[in-house]
Amino acid sequence: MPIISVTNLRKAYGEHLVLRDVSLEVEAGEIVGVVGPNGAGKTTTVECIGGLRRADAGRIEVDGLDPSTNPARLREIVGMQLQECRLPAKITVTEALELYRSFYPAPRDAGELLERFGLAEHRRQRFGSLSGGQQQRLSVALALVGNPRIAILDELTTGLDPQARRDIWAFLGELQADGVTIVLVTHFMEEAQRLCDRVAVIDDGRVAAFDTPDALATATDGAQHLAFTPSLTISDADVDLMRALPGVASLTVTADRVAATGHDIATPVLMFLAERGITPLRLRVESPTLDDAYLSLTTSAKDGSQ
Amino acid sequence: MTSTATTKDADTARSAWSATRALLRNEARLLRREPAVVAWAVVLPLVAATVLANVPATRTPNADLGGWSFSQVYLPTLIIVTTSLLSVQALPALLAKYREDGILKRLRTTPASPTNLLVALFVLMGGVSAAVTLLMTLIPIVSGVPFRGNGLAFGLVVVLTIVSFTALGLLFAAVSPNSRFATGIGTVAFFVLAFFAGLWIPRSIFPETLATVADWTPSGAASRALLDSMHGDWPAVQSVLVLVLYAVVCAVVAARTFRWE
Repeated sequence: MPIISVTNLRKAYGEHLVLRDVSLEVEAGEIVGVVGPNGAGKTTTVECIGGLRRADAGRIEVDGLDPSTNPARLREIVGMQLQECRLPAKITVTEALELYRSFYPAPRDAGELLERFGLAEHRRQRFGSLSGGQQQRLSVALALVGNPRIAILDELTTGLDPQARRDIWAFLGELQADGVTIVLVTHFMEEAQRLCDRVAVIDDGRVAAFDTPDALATATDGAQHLAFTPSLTISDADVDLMRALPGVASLTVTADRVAATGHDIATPVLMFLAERGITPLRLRVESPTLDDAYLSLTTSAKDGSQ
Repeated sequence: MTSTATTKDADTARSAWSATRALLRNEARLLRREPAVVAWAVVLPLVAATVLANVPATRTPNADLGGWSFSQVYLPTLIIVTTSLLSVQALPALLAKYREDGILKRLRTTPASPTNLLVALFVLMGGVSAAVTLLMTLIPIVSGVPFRGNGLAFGLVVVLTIVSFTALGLLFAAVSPNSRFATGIGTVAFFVLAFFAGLWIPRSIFPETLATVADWTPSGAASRALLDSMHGDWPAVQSVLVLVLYAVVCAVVAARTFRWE
């Protein structure tokens, strides 16, 4: 049984329809990514799941609870990190953690969180004097301080340097090992690809696709890009033969570079070169990524429907 | 079943109290670090009370005031001004700023309830009002200007006044969408309260209809009850009822209409 189930969610702000029809199911212990263009409805979706907004239509169940009617119990099992939330400028890191600990029946150890989020040496520093990245890390720490069974994290690594981002990713991995279910709103496809068991692509108020990152990447007509510098000049006849190889959609030859695009073309092209005794130098092969999938699934947003 | 429910209720009650206490401690600490919000409401009345109690013209009994000194007759006004400034101006401004900065939205994701925060702010601001009032009452006494009247009644009315005004402030704080609105409504409310308390026109020369209306406002009821107790009487039932009614209605409506965002 899924721990989060969202069915036919619909939500408008005044005239503006933000969620047209969103359905999702998250299994316990999964890390699910929510990606999509700005304004597609990602934040609204997770805020409805967290009980911060009430949908106009549709049904949400979080561990058997309806977030819109039973928030008190929900708050104990769901930890949320939201965008555009601040703390009072003069509260210190430790004070904030201790304050938030006092709200929960079985909170995490503050010291452990300070260490994990690289805030130990800033524990006496006030929120207003922390850097953007430190504030962000504290915000994530506060979302986890209550020992939640479900963590909803909205753009948790935005504004973090690569090292801090990797540290937080590692911690999320450990949380998952502890059985915590994580819903992650993100703009970084790399983050979604590395962390998430499944990714929901939300576009224009609908779930455009919901699958594992690999399945998404290959399903969307994933073009492979291949480029190399041949060790010997390729004859025009051979160029034509290569264009006719299975899967090759296009092939161009410039001064010293050959570039090909198509479906699963690396093997036939490289075998063809081997037969001719040509070595592909400075070879680059790009497989379809979640980025490609994302772009092909969310084109409507780029067409200016926003 | 019953015993589990009771244990759960007790747990809930305990955690609600611990959240309120933690919020109160936190808010007190933040106020100590940033006293500007209340400085003016605290310092001004204390300076006024000290001056009035030490300048010969205002500390000695005055025949025009029926044998009272200015220091004595101004005490209720000072109490009402301080309490109004703290409750309807400082408190809503503080909470509206929290709302604007997303501090409340952040808090909303936790099991802490609006009531926890409202109670914490109520105790904090009410406490500041009470402390300043106590000082304003003691300053004349230590300066040699005696307190006249029914001390017990006076004390009880002061407590009721603070509770009632602070609840009114909580109501404004609960519904103000942003700090501009909070400052605006707080300023208007302050002038209205001060007016009905007789800050600009003394209550004794209010026309009859105005006096009747004033008696149904929290500040009119408070100043009437304070004056009654200074004349040695117990406050009129109506004054007490008005103060209690405002306190209860405002507190309940504040908790019900509280906006996180």
